[in-house]
Amino acid sequence: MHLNATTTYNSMQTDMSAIDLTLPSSSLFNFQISRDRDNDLVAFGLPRMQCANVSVYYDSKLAVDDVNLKILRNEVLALIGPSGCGKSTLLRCLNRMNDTIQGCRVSGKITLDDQDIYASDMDVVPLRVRVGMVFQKPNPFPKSIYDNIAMAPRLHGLASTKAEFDEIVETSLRRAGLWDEVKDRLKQAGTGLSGGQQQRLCIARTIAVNPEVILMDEPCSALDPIATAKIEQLIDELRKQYTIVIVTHSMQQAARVSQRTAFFHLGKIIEVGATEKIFTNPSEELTERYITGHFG
Amino acid sequence: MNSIFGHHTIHQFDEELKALHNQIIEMGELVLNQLCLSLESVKYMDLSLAQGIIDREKVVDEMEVSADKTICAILVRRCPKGSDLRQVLSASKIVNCLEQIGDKVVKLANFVVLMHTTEQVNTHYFSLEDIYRLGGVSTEIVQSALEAFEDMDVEQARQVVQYHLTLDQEFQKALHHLIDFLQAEKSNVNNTVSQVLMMKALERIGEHARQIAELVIYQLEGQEPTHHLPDLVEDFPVDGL
Ligand SMILES: Nc1ncnc2c1ncn2[C@@H]1O[C@H](COP(=O)(O)OP(=O)(O)OP(=O)(O)O)[C@@H](O)[C@H]1O
Ligand SMILES: [Mg+2]
Repeated sequence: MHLNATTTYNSMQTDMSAIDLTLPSSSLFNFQISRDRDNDLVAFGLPRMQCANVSVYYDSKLAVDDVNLKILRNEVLALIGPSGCGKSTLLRCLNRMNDTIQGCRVSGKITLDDQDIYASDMDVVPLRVRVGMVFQKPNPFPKSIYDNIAMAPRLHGLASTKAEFDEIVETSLRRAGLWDEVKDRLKQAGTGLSGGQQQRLCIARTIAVNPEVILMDEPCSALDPIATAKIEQLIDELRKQYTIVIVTHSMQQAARVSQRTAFFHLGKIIEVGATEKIFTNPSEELTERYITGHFG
Repeated sequence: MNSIFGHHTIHQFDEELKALHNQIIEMGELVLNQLCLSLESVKYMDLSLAQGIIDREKVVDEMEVSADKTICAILVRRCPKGSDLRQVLSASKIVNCLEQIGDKVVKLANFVVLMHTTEQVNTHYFSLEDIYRLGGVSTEIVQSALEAFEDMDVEQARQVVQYHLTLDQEFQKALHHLIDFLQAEKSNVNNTVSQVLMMKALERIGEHARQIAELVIYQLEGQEPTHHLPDLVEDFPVDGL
């Protein structure tokens, strides 16, 4: 787990420097990133993202085994399962964070609104804007709180005037429930915030570019119950506009925030279903054993 | 049976669930015992027996409070899921059913006390066989439901639900008798009302036992208990009292 966190953290850094080098080029975008996305254009009930026969290898080690999964719009989907079962690996596939991991091979098909995200003409930079990610360990950039939020919108040309940036910063921080705590010190370093504040800053940063899907990998594992509650409240609000996939080790958290839950075991999806059903009357014996704490 | 208390990674949780199960069995035994005694007190118009039953109702209430505490503690400490959650939910409802059965039993005992304190004690005016027969069926249903609970036997639970239909029929039959009785002027209004109340208490007891059986099915299979509308007995408007 420690290894994973470090790997993802490093790959994130690599990506950001990659962006720095190639920016700013509007030709980068294969598709439009609009600030006011018209939700109605996508029919209800159609999956936002879809994994078909997805397998992931690290060298010769199979980490995700032939996974089929639909991620519906405006839902919070929780991924649960024992440590090492491949949750983070699958999550990273959804915005191609695995690309940067040596020896990692992904097969099968993953689509975002029917676009194959592994297609050769798919540009990962805008993909990662559309599918944003929040990591287990808060990883603010070593910059001011303001710049932490404003950087990505600047990179992607989502705003041009100071007033526009100010608005993005304020709205994002407000939505992340952090505005009141930091509004008087926006010029101070983001790394100077508490763990819970940093995590909300990272969430604010993620939503600043108005993504369509937000991936969260154990976002509350380092947080106290109040900070956790704030983030869960935020997740619930974000759901109205975005689609969220959250990996969590806390079954209570999965039960609290998600509408559907997928249970993973040894790289396979054992069961996906309505969260209430999974936690009261799952169909699979293995799920039952896991949620009741009969495992291993 | 073993499988339902199979091994949680946290062993203490197994113990807590087992303790809850046993607490309910114990409460069930007491309530069943009270029920049998109350029928006997009616049969022999035994005042001291009836008073004993009324006194022991306190113990039933204490057991309910204690089971509720156990349930609350498990919910708080363990946040149960899956079959554990269903077990705790069922337990909570079953305790309630048992408490209700206890209340009805006391009604029967109260009736015996009442008979002794009023002037016109005359069981001659009752169609007591009907009470005994109804009581017999109710007792059987309660006993069988408790066995199904103790052994977590889904088949037996289903049989209880099925057998409960007999009770409705017996109840209707007894009502018919009572009306005949009344029409033949072998009974007076006071006695008739008392008898109907006793019959109704016994019918409710059977109904609570049926609920217990359905909760056993829910606990084991996750199937929500169905809500039955009472069968309409077409030619008999007294039904649904
Ligand atoms: N960078 C990597 N290189 C090689 N193997 C890896 C790498 N990352 C993960 N794995 C392996 O792939 C499997 C799945 O790992 P993954 O991190 O997806 O699990 P997880 O379900 O997120 O676990 P946890 O709940 O502990 O975070 C594990 O066996 C892990 O050892
Ligand atoms: Mg992980």
